[in-house]
Amino acid sequence: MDRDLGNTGRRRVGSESGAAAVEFALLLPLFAMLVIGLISAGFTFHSWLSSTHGAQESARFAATLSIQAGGGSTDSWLATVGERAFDASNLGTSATARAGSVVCVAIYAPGNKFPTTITPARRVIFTADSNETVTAAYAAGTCPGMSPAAAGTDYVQVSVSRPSNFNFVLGSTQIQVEGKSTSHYEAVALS
Amino acid sequence: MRRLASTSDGGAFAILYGLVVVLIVMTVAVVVDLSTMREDRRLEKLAADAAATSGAIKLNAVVGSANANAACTEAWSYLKLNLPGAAGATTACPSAKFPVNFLSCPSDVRTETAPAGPWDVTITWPVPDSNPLMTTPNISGSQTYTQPIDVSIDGTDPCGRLGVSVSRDRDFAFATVGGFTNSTTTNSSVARAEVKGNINLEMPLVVLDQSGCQALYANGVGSLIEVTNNGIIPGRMAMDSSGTGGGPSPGCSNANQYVAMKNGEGASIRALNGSDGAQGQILTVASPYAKSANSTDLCAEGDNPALSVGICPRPTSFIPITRKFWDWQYHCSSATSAPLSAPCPYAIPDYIEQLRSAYNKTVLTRAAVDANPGSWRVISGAGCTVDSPVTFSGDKNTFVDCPTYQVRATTVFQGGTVVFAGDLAVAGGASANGCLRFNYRIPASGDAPCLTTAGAVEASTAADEMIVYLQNGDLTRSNLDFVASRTFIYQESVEASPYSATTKFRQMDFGAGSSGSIWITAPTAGNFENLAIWTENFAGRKDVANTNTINGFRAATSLVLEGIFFFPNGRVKLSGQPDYFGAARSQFVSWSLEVFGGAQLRLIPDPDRTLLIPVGGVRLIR
Repeated sequence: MDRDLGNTGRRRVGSESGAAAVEFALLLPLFAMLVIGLISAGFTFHSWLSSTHGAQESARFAATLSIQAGGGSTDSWLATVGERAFDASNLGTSATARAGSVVCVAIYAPGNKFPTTITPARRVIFTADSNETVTAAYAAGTCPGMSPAAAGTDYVQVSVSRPSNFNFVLGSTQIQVEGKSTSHYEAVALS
Repeated sequence: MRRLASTSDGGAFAILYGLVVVLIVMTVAVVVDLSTMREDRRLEKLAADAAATSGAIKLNAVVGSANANAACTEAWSYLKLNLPGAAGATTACPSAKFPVNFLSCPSDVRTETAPAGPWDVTITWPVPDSNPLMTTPNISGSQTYTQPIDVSIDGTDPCGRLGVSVSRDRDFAFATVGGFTNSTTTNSSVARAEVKGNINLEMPLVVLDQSGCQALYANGVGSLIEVTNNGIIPGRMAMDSSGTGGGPSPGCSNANQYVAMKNGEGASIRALNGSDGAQGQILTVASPYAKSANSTDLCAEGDNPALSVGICPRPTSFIPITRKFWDWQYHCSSATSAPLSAPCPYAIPDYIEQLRSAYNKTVLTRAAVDANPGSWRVISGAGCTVDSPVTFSGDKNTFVDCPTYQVRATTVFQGGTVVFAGDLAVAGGASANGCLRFNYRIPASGDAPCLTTAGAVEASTAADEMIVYLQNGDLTRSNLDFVASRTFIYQESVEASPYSATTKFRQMDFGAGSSGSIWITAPTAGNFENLAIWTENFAGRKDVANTNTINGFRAATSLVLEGIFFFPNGRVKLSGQPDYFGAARSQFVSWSLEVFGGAQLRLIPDPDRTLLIPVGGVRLIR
């Protein structure tokens, strides 16, 4: 009995299962933070990859798209490239896209001779609101935050940014990841 | 019970652990495999772009011959360089599919697919408009997109296009956890060779003689033919002569004869380096240096042309430039023939022919002018000799119905088009002062009809530019100043042919006499933008039955020439004091050119006032 008790008592004292549970319970938040943080970081990285990929794909596409083939006017050309940027970035369309996503497309082509009315530097910024409705703002100039290419060259710019939630159990934050790409504009019409 | 509880804890942890691991692995799978795939895609795109553009240049008939086999081989060479693991791949360009020469463009699409390391490469030639490479450009996304053809960018010649596709099947490293075992990426690019490319060379001096000697001649002590630099743009000149003779031109049969020659101490032919070190170039068709130049006249390899005497730099081989680029710009007609020209590939009017059909001597006759007095004024009879100053004001056109219109005192044509039915002779006496002035419409302060030390004040708008048309006569000048501001001078010379027994040679000689200055600037807009003179005359050619005609420029005081001076059949000679207003922003295109008597012709490349030579025009189109 005593021995039993003693044995029982030793067994209780020496048991690690409870300790493991306690340790697990203590470490779980940290572990969960780490794991969820890792996964969250992975998805954020994926968002960045998608944005960069979309920007590169659409900038390369734009490089060989003439104004004429893009709709005949600078603005229609910008809209055509913008549509491809949304699609290649897996964000939706230029009418309905992931809330908070922003796509900028710009063309700087003073060397372009046709149509003669082409605006040398023109850009559009598509912004998707919280209802996923996209509005487009056309203006003179290039994409904000992007550096111009070498002087005297014709080029196109595309930037794609999207919100990404970064979770870490105790909280979360939303960051805007952005991909940018500039291509030489090959489709300059000389006459 | 305790055992059960203990076992239960461990299992829960294992299950949780397992779930977490799966989540982590799946996340890693997405990120790693997707990013790897996209990196491959980017790499493939770069390789395809480089291969297509490098290959397409071989399809450019301007630079060389259209050679599909060379295009394919060149594309492969870049694929091997840019695709990891493809260095040892076998180039797959069977000549049955990709011929070395082709007289006409094949109607069938030829493709050849071969492995290049882990990739599969497909070369496509020709690439017609309907080919999927053209209609569905390669861009990722869920939507399909069809790109329309734009002839101005895509061209119309399938054989000028080269398509390169690079694809790869890959096994996923991690994504198999999620059931994704492999994927395929394919990237395609299409480039085309174009004759009006966006790669252009400034070429201020071109001599078109196809086979003769002394096509470029600095004759006399101190004579200089120089294309200086314009900042980073180096000086360039080109000589189309092979020096081998043939046709109307005797070749360099004499051991001491060369295409480019200098004679006399200090005489030089030079093309200066650009400010950032780009090499000046003397381009020649004659094999360097057998017939291009005497080796004893050449500077040493690597010498700075600006500091050298003789012919410097050493000529380098190039293809004939020919007159076609100027024809295409101003005389776009399929009637012109090879090798001096080629059918015009552009859809623009033939401006020279438009001009001729409006003003040539069979169309614009005295009777036609008399019937339209509202538009034309006539000079004839006693008015054919100007002994006291006269100004023809306004923009009314002028028809000069004189066998020879002799200008002996200041004569001003303020505007309009001036058509001379006969010769135009500007010849003051030895002490004469005055000028012949075309385009004098700005009563600006300080502007005078004749040249001052400040030069001439020029018309400021395109509407103010003038045309001078010589229907059937020579233009000669001595002593008086000749000022043609923003004016295009055209000399009708269809009768001048070395092959006709009834040849009457025309000339355009601004050179005789011992005083006076010359100021000729081309229009800055309109059909004849940048074109100062166009004449098809054969003056000055030794190789034709011609004796006393000359296309000359001789200015005792100053010489300003701006724009294109096009004498494709004639020899141009420059002489006189070397006291010019600096280097001329002009482009001389002549059959041959000689500077003699210590004169200096210095040309400066000006892309805004001359015609650029499109070379190596390759455009990425998909």
